[in-house]
Amino acid sequence: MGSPRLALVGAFVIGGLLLFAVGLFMIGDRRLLFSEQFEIEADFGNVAGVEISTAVRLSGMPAGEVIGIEIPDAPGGRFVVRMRVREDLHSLVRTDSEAAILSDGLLGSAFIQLRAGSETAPLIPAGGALRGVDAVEIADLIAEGRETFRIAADQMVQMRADLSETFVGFEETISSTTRLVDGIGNDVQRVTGASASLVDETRGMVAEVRRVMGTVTSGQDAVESVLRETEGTMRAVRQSAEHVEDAIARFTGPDSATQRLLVEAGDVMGRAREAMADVADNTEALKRNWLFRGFFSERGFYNLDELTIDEYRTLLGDDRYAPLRIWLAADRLFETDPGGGLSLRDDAGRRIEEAMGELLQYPRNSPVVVEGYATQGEIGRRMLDALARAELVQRYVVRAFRHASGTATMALGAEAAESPSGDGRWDGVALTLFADPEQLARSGAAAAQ
Amino acid sequence: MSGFVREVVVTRLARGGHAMTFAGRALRDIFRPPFELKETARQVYELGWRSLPLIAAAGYAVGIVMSMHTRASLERFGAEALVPAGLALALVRETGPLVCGLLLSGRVGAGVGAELGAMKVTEQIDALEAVAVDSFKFLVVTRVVACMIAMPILTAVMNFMGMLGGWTAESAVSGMGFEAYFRAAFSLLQFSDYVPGTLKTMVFGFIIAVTASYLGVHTSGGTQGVGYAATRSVVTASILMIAANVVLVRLIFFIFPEMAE
Repeated sequence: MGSPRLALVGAFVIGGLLLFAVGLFMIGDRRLLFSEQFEIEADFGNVAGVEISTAVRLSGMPAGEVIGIEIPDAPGGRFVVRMRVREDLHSLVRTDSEAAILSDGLLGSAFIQLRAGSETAPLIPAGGALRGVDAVEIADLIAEGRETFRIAADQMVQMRADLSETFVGFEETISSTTRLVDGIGNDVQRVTGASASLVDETRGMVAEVRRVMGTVTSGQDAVESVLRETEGTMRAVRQSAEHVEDAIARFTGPDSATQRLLVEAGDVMGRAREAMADVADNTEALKRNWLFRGFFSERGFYNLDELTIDEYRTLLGDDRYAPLRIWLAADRLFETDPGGGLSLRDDAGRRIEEAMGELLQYPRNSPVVVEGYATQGEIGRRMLDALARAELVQRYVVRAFRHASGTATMALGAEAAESPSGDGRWDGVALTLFADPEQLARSGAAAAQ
Repeated sequence: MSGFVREVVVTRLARGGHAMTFAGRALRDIFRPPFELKETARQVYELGWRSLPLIAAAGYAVGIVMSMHTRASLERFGAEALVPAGLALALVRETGPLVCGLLLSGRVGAGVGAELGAMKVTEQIDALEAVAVDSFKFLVVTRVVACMIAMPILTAVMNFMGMLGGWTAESAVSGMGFEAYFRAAFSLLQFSDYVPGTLKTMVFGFIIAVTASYLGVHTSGGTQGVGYAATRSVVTASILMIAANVVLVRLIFFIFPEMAE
């Protein structure tokens, strides 16, 4: 065998050994066998996925590996994991650093992540112990999720039970309310009956007194008879008064159910008022609907939409309708919102109520027309403002006085010949009541009596 | 009939025992002088050096194919970053040694079986004995030692070329750099993966050389017997090597339990 062949054999063997050694060096380098290092340890309750040579990282940077796991002496003890860490990273590992067991994604193997400590904490000495943060296992997460779902289900069951109980309470409240209303009805009937009886008896007593006074000189028996009857009448009055007191006590007594009923009744009345306003709006709409227009006109309702402004002004001067007008100035009724919208002032309601108070002295079936006037701007602007003012006041009248079927609006622009301003113009509204002169005469006669 | 079966069984057992004695003698004579270094070196050249192109080419190709398969599998889980480490782990632990052993059993087993068989049928072995040369030490032990030296080296070459092929495939797909790839490849490797996986190929080398030598020196039937010995050498050496691998893996897991995890 020649020397070239021997050289090749030598090269083959040496080259092969070198290649093998390179592999060893690469693995050794990863395991920090060729660099300075220090050892630390951390304790964990759960070391899932951690084994000897498991990678250790510091803030994500490869920093070393696990070199040993000490098993606790007794159940409940903690595993102590010893780690070898690069010396050049020592300055980042402080006594308040933590070691956590993490995983490289779902498929990746576990590794120990060291969290760099704070600047103020001292360096951890070689062999020192860090606080370990246990691994989070998928099974634990699933178990926690199941526990959460179980708690949520329990809460829902409890909520369902509470709701059932609440509904039962509602039913009982409704039942007791019904009973109370029935009782109140009975009391009212009793009070009314007693009052009627009292009135009858009082009338009888007065008649008897007159009769007795007319015949007072007729004898002692008659006087005694009057005294007996008076005594019986007073007894009936006392009984009626007791009934009334009893009924009032039931209405205003400290009993919470009654108070609750009153509050609820207040709410119901509020809603009823709103409903009435809606009904009024709807009725107004129906009155203007061609299908129902005839039906309403046969029953005495009127529609001012069909009247021109001049025709309406003619009606104002017609003696057959005896119009009564109350003028309300715009600056005392309205205010403009920041957004430019028109609304009633806070004290406007009181002024409207005062005006309506005067008009309501007349028959309730007399129609009230809210006339709108505006003096600012062009004719179109004036008409729009006049209509808006009239509608605002009409809505308040309907809501406050439930005067739904007998109100209407009329936008008249600026001209108001009879206005108190004296210049034939008006800026505001006028509440105009059209009363039947015959009815007015009858009312006047009755009042005189 | 029973006599025929008994004869076959007894004959096979006797042949097995003979082969075991042959292997035992080869193992013992490795450590006994004379060492026939020159002939051993020649055999290293013949069995090792001349097998280098085959092993390097096969390793490179295997690396490319494994990288593609590994990537295709890991891509489904979004774990492409594990391709270098996964390939290196598979190559170093099992694929490299086994493929290298099979390739060497094909090339060396056939060569040794045919060479020694030819020497046997042409009575060259008898001639060596006639001139007072220990034919067993000169022909068998030198080949066994050469195989046991060449196998780990060839396995290291195979592993390296496999990783090189893996890097070629990976850089074509992801443009990964050479250094980054090799750092990633060795990131999961442990000594317990690398050293036993490489050194166990010495056992493969021993099995290949002993099997081929045994069948070669016991060749009969002229040139036809030589061809028969070469074929049987390859088949028997491959089967014995795979069977031995099972035992060796179990043994390595026993010695390095962390490898089994």
